[in-house]
Amino acid sequence: MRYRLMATYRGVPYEAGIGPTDRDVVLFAACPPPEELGFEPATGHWRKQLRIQDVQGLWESRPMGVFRGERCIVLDDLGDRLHIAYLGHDGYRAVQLGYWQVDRGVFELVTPREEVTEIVEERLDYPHRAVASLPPADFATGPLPPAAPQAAYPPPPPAPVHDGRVPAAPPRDRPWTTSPLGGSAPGQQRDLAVIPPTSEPPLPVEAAALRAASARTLEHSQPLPAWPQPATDPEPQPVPAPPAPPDLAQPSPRRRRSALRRLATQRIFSELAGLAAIPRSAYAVGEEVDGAMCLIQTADGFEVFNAAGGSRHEVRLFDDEESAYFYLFGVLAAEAVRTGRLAPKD
Amino acid sequence: MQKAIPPRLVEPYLTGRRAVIAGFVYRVQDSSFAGPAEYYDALDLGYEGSDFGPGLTELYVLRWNAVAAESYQVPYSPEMGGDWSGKPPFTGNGYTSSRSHVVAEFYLDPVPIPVGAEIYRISAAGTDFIARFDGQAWLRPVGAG
Repeated sequence: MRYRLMATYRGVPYEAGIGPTDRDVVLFAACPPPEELGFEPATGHWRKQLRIQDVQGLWESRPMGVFRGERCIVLDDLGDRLHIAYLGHDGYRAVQLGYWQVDRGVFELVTPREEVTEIVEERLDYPHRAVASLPPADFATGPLPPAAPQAAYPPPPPAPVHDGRVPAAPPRDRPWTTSPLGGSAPGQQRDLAVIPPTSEPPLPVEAAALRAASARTLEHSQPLPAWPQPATDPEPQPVPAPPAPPDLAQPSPRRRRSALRRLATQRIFSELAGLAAIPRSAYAVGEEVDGAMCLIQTADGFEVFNAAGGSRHEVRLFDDEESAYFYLFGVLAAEAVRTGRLAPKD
Repeated sequence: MQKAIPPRLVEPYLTGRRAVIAGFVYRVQDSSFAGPAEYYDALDLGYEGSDFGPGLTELYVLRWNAVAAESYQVPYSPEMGGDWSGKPPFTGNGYTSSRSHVVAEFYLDPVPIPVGAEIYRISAAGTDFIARFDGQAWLRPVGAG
């Protein structure tokens, strides 16, 4: 569960990015897509750059929830904690709710998962699609200022007074132009290499936000809404099988060995996943969970796939379970390395 | 567009652990200055809780091409017809509070970092390219430290 941009290409959803221009989209895949699609290998992933008109859908996958009575967006799933961001425009209220200002006007928090309720994935068409005739923009020009709420044509804001003089207002309504930055224009070709993640376990912002969250005494200028009841763990828990009667349905020694071996494999996988800081919500074993890498047994063997949008993507079939687990772990570990959760110790 | 990256967020950005841009952002044409001190003054970096210091000697900025222009909102206060409120230096009039520079500000709810975004380090010695975002990771120039 992570806030990300998605695109559908030839009927398959991929994580995507917009850029380097507003007419370009880049598709990303954790597993190698079929060769005929023309993805190129990159560090830890495969990628394909397209013109934006070549994808059939483009949307934001926004995990939204409710924190202390107000909507929030889930930026990242850290397992038993969620990294959330305040979506309102009231800095006082954000602080009152317990958020921490990580940047000017940006209020976020890493909070126990159970504090965030009503988590749903919102799918919003990416706004860019609705403004196909946008004039070109670049680092220097940026967007045209939108109209302020409640006014179709808001009066220009008063410019700051400098020593009694009112300077000319900045050109907020100037036509779009492109004026590359001297010496720092985007898209210049350079030989680049990936920055390795550091070995620092907690995010600085996360650690600080946690400290802030634990230390903060909420100052309520007005009563806060009733604290929501802690949510139950959204991740399905395995249902223990009822014990068999002592003299009935005893598995054969061979089947018992197989079951024991399976349990051992699954336990080893779970332990390794935990050691690799892979969130429990990132994978599902024995069931299909949307948004997760899943491993299930089928009549043909063991399938590992990415479940998204109610479909199975990047399906791989393995004859034996250990290979399936090994592959699943590899995909998840690659993602953990990419996001910096898994880093070598110095 | 560009925004100054708080020092404590530079490393999470560069290692891919922070994948969104949010908050007050500025057009490069309005907000290119000679050195860190001018950025500090012009972009209201001395807000409460800031880890920018007035004597900062270097500053990292994130620059990207604006897409989805409607995502960029002018943070007007209720008096100006908007719904933003916050402690000073927030002005609510669509500009930073600097008395030396006139800088229009925009507000961005969290968005994924666009492909091709770049990070620069600004110091008295000039502006250095640090890394470019390929959509999944930040790439540094080969041979860079």
